[in-house]
Amino acid sequence: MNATALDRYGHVDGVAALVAFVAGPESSYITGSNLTVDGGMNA
Amino acid sequence: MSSPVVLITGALTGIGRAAAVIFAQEGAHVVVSGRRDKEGQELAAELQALGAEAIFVRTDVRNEDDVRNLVDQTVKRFGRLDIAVNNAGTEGVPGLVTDQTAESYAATFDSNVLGVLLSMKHELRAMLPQGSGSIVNVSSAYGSVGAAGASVYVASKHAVEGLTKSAALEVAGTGVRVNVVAPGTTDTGMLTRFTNTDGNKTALVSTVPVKRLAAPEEIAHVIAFVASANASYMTGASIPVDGGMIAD
Repeated sequence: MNATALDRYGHVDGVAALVAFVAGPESSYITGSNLTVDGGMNA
Repeated sequence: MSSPVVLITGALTGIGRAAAVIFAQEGAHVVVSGRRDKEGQELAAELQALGAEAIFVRTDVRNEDDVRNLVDQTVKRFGRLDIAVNNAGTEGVPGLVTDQTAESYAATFDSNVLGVLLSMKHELRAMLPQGSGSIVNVSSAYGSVGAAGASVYVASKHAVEGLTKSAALEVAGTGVRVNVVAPGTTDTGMLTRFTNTDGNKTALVSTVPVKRLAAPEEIAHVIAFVASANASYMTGASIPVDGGMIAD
Protein backbone atom coordinates (compact mmCIF):
# COMPACT_ATOMS: atom_id res chain seq x y z
CA MET A 1 0.00 0.00 0.00
CA ASN A 2 2.92 2.35 0.39
CA ALA A 3 3.02 2.65 -3.38
CA THR A 4 -0.52 4.02 -3.43
CA ALA A 5 -0.49 7.75 -2.77
CA LEU A 6 -4.01 7.90 -1.36
CA ASP A 7 -2.99 5.08 1.02
CA ARG A 8 -6.19 3.13 0.65
CA TYR A 9 -7.75 0.66 -1.74
CA GLY A 10 -10.16 1.92 -4.36
CA HIS A 11 -13.83 1.09 -4.18
CA VAL A 12 -15.41 -0.71 -7.10
CA ASP A 13 -17.90 2.16 -7.28
CA GLY A 14 -15.07 4.52 -8.17
CA VAL A 15 -14.03 2.39 -11.10
CA ALA A 16 -17.62 1.81 -12.17
CA ALA A 17 -18.29 5.56 -12.18
CA LEU A 18 -15.42 6.12 -14.60
CA VAL A 19 -16.47 3.19 -16.79
CA ALA A 20 -19.99 4.62 -16.97
CA PHE A 21 -18.65 8.08 -17.74
CA VAL A 22 -16.34 6.88 -20.51
CA ALA A 23 -19.18 4.83 -22.00
CA GLY A 24 -21.54 7.81 -21.95
CA PRO A 25 -22.13 10.83 -24.18
CA GLU A 26 -20.24 13.33 -21.99
CA SER A 27 -16.91 11.73 -22.97
CA SER A 28 -17.61 12.05 -26.69
CA TYR A 29 -14.09 13.26 -27.58
CA ILE A 30 -12.29 10.53 -25.58
CA THR A 31 -11.14 7.62 -27.71
CA GLY A 32 -8.02 5.46 -27.66
CA SER A 33 -7.25 6.74 -24.14
CA ASN A 34 -5.82 4.79 -21.24
CA LEU A 35 -7.39 6.16 -18.05
CA THR A 36 -6.03 5.41 -14.61
CA VAL A 37 -7.98 5.16 -11.35
CA ASP A 38 -5.09 4.25 -9.11
CA GLY A 39 -4.99 6.56 -6.13
CA GLY A 40 -1.86 8.22 -7.49
CA MET A 41 0.18 5.01 -7.89
CA ASN A 42 1.50 6.01 -11.32
CA ALA A 43 1.98 9.70 -10.52
CA MET B 1 -22.42 18.31 -0.71
CA SER B 2 -25.20 20.81 -1.40
CA SER B 3 -23.63 23.32 -3.75
CA PRO B 4 -19.92 22.90 -4.40
CA VAL B 5 -17.88 26.10 -4.60
CA VAL B 6 -16.00 26.11 -7.90
CA LEU B 7 -13.21 28.49 -8.96
CA ILE B 8 -12.18 28.66 -12.63
CA THR B 9 -9.22 30.57 -14.09
CA GLY B 10 -9.27 31.60 -17.72
CA ALA B 11 -13.05 31.39 -17.50
CA LEU B 12 -14.01 34.05 -20.01
CA THR B 13 -13.62 32.05 -23.21
CA GLY B 14 -13.31 28.57 -24.65
CA ILE B 15 -12.99 25.58 -22.34
CA GLY B 16 -13.07 27.68 -19.15
CA ARG B 17 -16.31 29.35 -20.15
CA ALA B 18 -17.90 26.02 -21.09
CA ALA B 19 -16.87 24.62 -17.72
CA ALA B 20 -18.37 27.62 -15.90
CA VAL B 21 -21.70 27.07 -17.65
CA ILE B 22 -21.73 23.32 -16.92
CA PHE B 23 -20.91 23.80 -13.23
CA ALA B 24 -23.59 26.50 -13.00
CA GLN B 25 -26.15 24.20 -14.61
CA GLU B 26 -25.21 21.50 -12.11
CA GLY B 27 -26.02 23.87 -9.24
CA ALA B 28 -22.55 24.92 -8.14
CA HIS B 29 -21.54 28.30 -6.78
CA VAL B 30 -19.12 29.56 -9.40
CA VAL B 31 -16.25 32.04 -9.17
CA VAL B 32 -15.04 32.99 -12.64
CA SER B 33 -11.78 34.81 -13.24
CA GLY B 34 -9.90 36.36 -16.09
CA ARG B 35 -8.25 39.60 -17.08
CA ARG B 36 -11.15 41.50 -18.67
CA ASP B 37 -13.70 43.15 -16.38
CA LYS B 38 -16.51 43.69 -18.87
CA GLU B 39 -16.55 40.13 -20.19
CA GLY B 40 -16.15 38.79 -16.65
CA GLN B 41 -19.13 40.70 -15.30
CA GLU B 42 -21.20 39.63 -18.31
CA LEU B 43 -20.30 35.98 -17.73
CA ALA B 44 -21.18 36.21 -14.04
CA ALA B 45 -24.57 37.66 -15.00
CA GLU B 46 -25.08 34.86 -17.52
CA LEU B 47 -24.34 32.24 -14.85
CA GLN B 48 -26.69 33.98 -12.42
CA ALA B 49 -29.41 33.81 -15.10
CA LEU B 50 -28.89 30.03 -15.08
CA GLY B 51 -29.75 30.08 -11.38
CA ALA B 52 -26.22 29.91 -10.01
CA GLU B 53 -24.64 32.11 -7.41
CA ALA B 54 -21.70 33.49 -9.37
CA ILE B 55 -19.10 36.23 -9.05
CA PHE B 56 -16.27 37.51 -11.22
CA VAL B 57 -12.86 38.28 -9.73
CA ARG B 58 -10.43 39.97 -12.08
CA THR B 59 -7.23 37.94 -12.03
CA ASP B 60 -3.99 37.71 -13.96
CA VAL B 61 -2.62 34.32 -12.93
CA ARG B 62 0.94 35.55 -13.49
CA ASN B 63 0.51 37.89 -10.53
CA GLU B 64 0.61 36.25 -7.09
CA ASP B 65 -1.28 39.08 -5.42
CA ASP B 66 -4.10 38.58 -7.94
CA VAL B 67 -4.18 34.83 -7.33
CA ARG B 68 -4.13 35.25 -3.55
CA ASN B 69 -7.00 37.72 -3.84
CA LEU B 70 -8.97 35.34 -6.08
CA VAL B 71 -8.88 32.60 -3.46
CA ASP B 72 -9.50 35.03 -0.61
CA GLN B 73 -12.54 36.53 -2.37
CA THR B 74 -13.89 33.03 -3.05
CA VAL B 75 -13.63 31.99 0.59
CA LYS B 76 -14.96 35.37 1.77
CA ARG B 77 -18.05 35.06 -0.44
CA PHE B 78 -18.82 31.34 -0.18
CA GLY B 79 -16.96 30.16 2.94
CA ARG B 80 -14.85 27.47 1.27
CA LEU B 81 -13.29 26.21 -1.97
CA ASP B 82 -14.26 22.75 -3.19
CA ILE B 83 -13.18 22.61 -6.83
CA ALA B 84 -10.54 24.61 -8.70
CA VAL B 85 -10.12 24.46 -12.47
CA ASN B 86 -6.75 25.92 -13.46
CA ASN B 87 -7.49 26.56 -17.10
CA ALA B 88 -5.85 29.93 -17.85
CA GLY B 89 -3.17 29.62 -20.48
CA THR B 90 -1.74 30.97 -23.68
CA GLU B 91 -0.61 29.54 -26.99
CA GLY B 92 2.39 31.85 -26.75
CA VAL B 93 4.29 32.60 -29.93
CA PRO B 94 4.50 29.43 -32.04
CA GLY B 95 7.72 29.08 -33.99
CA LEU B 96 10.88 27.09 -34.44
CA VAL B 97 13.29 26.53 -31.57
CA THR B 98 15.81 28.61 -33.48
CA ASP B 99 13.41 31.58 -33.41
CA GLN B 100 12.70 31.53 -29.66
CA THR B 101 13.86 34.17 -27.21
CA ALA B 102 13.98 34.61 -23.46
CA GLU B 103 10.95 36.86 -23.89
CA SER B 104 8.88 34.34 -25.89
CA TYR B 105 9.74 31.66 -23.34
CA ALA B 106 8.73 33.86 -20.41
CA ALA B 107 5.51 34.98 -22.09
CA THR B 108 4.37 31.37 -22.37
CA PHE B 109 5.77 29.90 -19.15
CA ASP B 110 4.58 32.76 -16.95
CA SER B 111 0.96 32.07 -17.87
CA ASN B 112 0.99 28.32 -18.39
CA VAL B 113 3.39 27.15 -15.69
CA LEU B 114 3.82 29.90 -13.09
CA GLY B 115 0.07 30.57 -13.32
CA VAL B 116 -0.80 26.96 -12.48
CA LEU B 117 1.83 26.83 -9.74
CA LEU B 118 0.58 29.99 -8.02
CA SER B 119 -3.02 28.91 -8.45
CA MET B 120 -2.42 25.53 -6.80
CA LYS B 121 -0.40 27.15 -4.02
CA HIS B 122 -3.24 29.42 -2.97
CA GLU B 123 -6.05 26.95 -3.65
CA LEU B 124 -4.33 24.42 -1.39
CA ARG B 125 -4.07 27.13 1.27
CA ALA B 126 -7.88 26.99 1.38
CA MET B 127 -8.39 23.28 0.71
CA LEU B 128 -5.87 21.65 3.06
CA PRO B 129 -7.43 23.05 6.26
CA GLN B 130 -10.83 21.86 4.97
CA GLY B 131 -9.45 18.36 4.48
CA SER B 132 -11.16 18.22 1.10
CA GLY B 133 -10.93 19.63 -2.38
CA SER B 134 -10.37 18.76 -6.01
CA ILE B 135 -8.00 20.58 -8.34
CA VAL B 136 -8.21 20.02 -12.09
CA ASN B 137 -5.42 21.52 -14.15
CA VAL B 138 -5.74 21.86 -17.91
CA SER B 139 -2.76 20.89 -20.03
CA SER B 140 -2.92 19.64 -23.62
CA ALA B 141 -2.29 16.61 -25.78
CA TYR B 142 0.98 18.50 -26.25
CA GLY B 143 1.60 17.79 -22.57
CA SER B 144 2.74 14.31 -23.55
CA VAL B 145 3.94 14.51 -27.16
CA GLY B 146 6.10 16.97 -29.07
CA ALA B 147 5.10 19.21 -31.97
CA ALA B 148 7.41 20.84 -34.47
CA GLY B 149 7.01 24.59 -34.35
CA ALA B 150 5.43 24.64 -30.89
CA SER B 151 8.32 23.74 -28.60
CA VAL B 152 7.74 26.31 -25.90
CA TYR B 153 4.01 25.64 -25.66
CA VAL B 154 4.71 21.88 -25.65
CA ALA B 155 7.32 22.29 -22.90
CA SER B 156 4.98 24.43 -20.81
CA LYS B 157 2.22 21.82 -21.01
CA HIS B 158 4.64 19.01 -20.13
CA ALA B 159 5.45 21.14 -17.09
CA VAL B 160 1.78 21.30 -16.12
CA GLU B 161 1.67 17.50 -16.21
CA GLY B 162 4.69 17.35 -13.90
CA LEU B 163 3.32 19.97 -11.51
CA THR B 164 0.07 18.03 -11.30
CA LYS B 165 1.68 14.69 -10.45
CA SER B 166 4.00 16.22 -7.86
CA ALA B 167 1.26 18.25 -6.18
CA ALA B 168 -1.00 15.19 -6.13
CA LEU B 169 1.68 13.19 -4.29
CA GLU B 170 2.38 16.03 -1.85
CA VAL B 171 -1.25 16.25 -0.74
CA ALA B 172 -2.29 12.60 -1.13
CA GLY B 173 -4.05 11.46 2.02
CA THR B 174 -5.23 14.94 2.96
CA GLY B 175 -8.56 14.63 1.15
CA VAL B 176 -7.40 16.86 -1.69
CA ARG B 177 -7.02 15.39 -5.17
CA VAL B 178 -5.07 16.92 -8.06
CA ASN B 179 -5.53 15.78 -11.66
CA VAL B 180 -4.98 17.15 -15.15
CA VAL B 181 -7.19 17.04 -18.24
CA ALA B 182 -5.30 17.06 -21.54
CA PRO B 183 -7.46 18.40 -24.39
CA GLY B 184 -6.65 17.84 -28.02
CA THR B 185 -7.74 20.09 -30.89
CA THR B 186 -10.63 22.08 -29.45
CA ASP B 187 -12.74 24.66 -31.25
CA THR B 188 -11.59 27.77 -29.39
CA GLY B 189 -10.08 31.15 -30.11
CA MET B 190 -6.75 29.81 -28.91
CA LEU B 191 -6.73 27.12 -31.62
CA THR B 192 -7.59 29.71 -34.25
CA ARG B 193 -4.69 31.89 -33.11
CA PHE B 194 -2.39 28.88 -32.77
CA THR B 195 -3.03 27.61 -36.31
CA ASN B 196 -3.15 31.14 -37.76
CA THR B 197 -4.80 30.16 -41.07
CA ASP B 198 -7.85 28.06 -41.99
CA GLY B 199 -5.55 25.88 -44.07
CA ASN B 200 -3.33 25.15 -41.08
CA LYS B 201 -6.35 24.36 -38.92
CA THR B 202 -7.78 21.98 -41.55
CA ALA B 203 -4.40 20.28 -41.87
CA LEU B 204 -4.17 19.82 -38.10
CA VAL B 205 -7.68 18.37 -37.87
CA SER B 206 -6.83 15.91 -40.65
CA THR B 207 -4.18 14.41 -38.36
CA VAL B 208 -6.71 13.72 -35.58
CA PRO B 209 -8.10 10.16 -35.73
CA VAL B 210 -11.72 11.30 -35.30
CA LYS B 211 -11.23 13.99 -38.01
CA ARG B 212 -13.02 16.76 -36.14
CA LEU B 213 -12.46 19.38 -33.47
CA ALA B 214 -13.78 18.98 -29.95
CA ALA B 215 -16.48 21.36 -28.81
CA PRO B 216 -15.34 23.13 -25.62
CA GLU B 217 -18.21 21.41 -23.80
CA GLU B 218 -16.70 17.99 -24.62
CA ILE B 219 -13.63 18.96 -22.60
CA ALA B 220 -15.61 20.71 -19.88
CA HIS B 221 -17.78 17.66 -19.16
CA VAL B 222 -14.63 15.63 -18.48
CA ILE B 223 -13.29 18.38 -16.21
CA ALA B 224 -16.57 18.29 -14.27
CA PHE B 225 -16.39 14.49 -13.92
CA VAL B 226 -12.79 14.46 -12.73
CA ALA B 227 -13.59 17.23 -10.26
CA SER B 228 -16.55 15.34 -8.84
CA ALA B 229 -16.78 12.79 -6.03
CA ASN B 230 -17.38 10.13 -8.71
CA ALA B 231 -13.63 10.35 -9.39
CA SER B 232 -12.65 10.02 -5.73
CA TYR B 233 -9.84 7.48 -6.35
CA MET B 234 -8.32 9.48 -9.20
CA THR B 235 -5.36 11.60 -8.23
CA GLY B 236 -2.18 12.44 -10.08
CA ALA B 237 -3.92 11.25 -13.23
CA SER B 238 -3.78 12.77 -16.70
CA ILE B 239 -6.93 12.31 -18.72
CA PRO B 240 -6.55 12.70 -22.50
CA VAL B 241 -9.61 14.14 -24.26
CA ASP B 242 -8.19 14.29 -27.72
CA GLY B 243 -10.17 12.30 -30.26
CA GLY B 244 -7.46 9.63 -30.30
CA MET B 245 -4.60 12.04 -31.01
CA ILE B 246 -1.99 10.57 -28.66
CA ALA B 247 -3.18 6.99 -29.22
CA ASP B 248 -2.11 7.33 -32.85
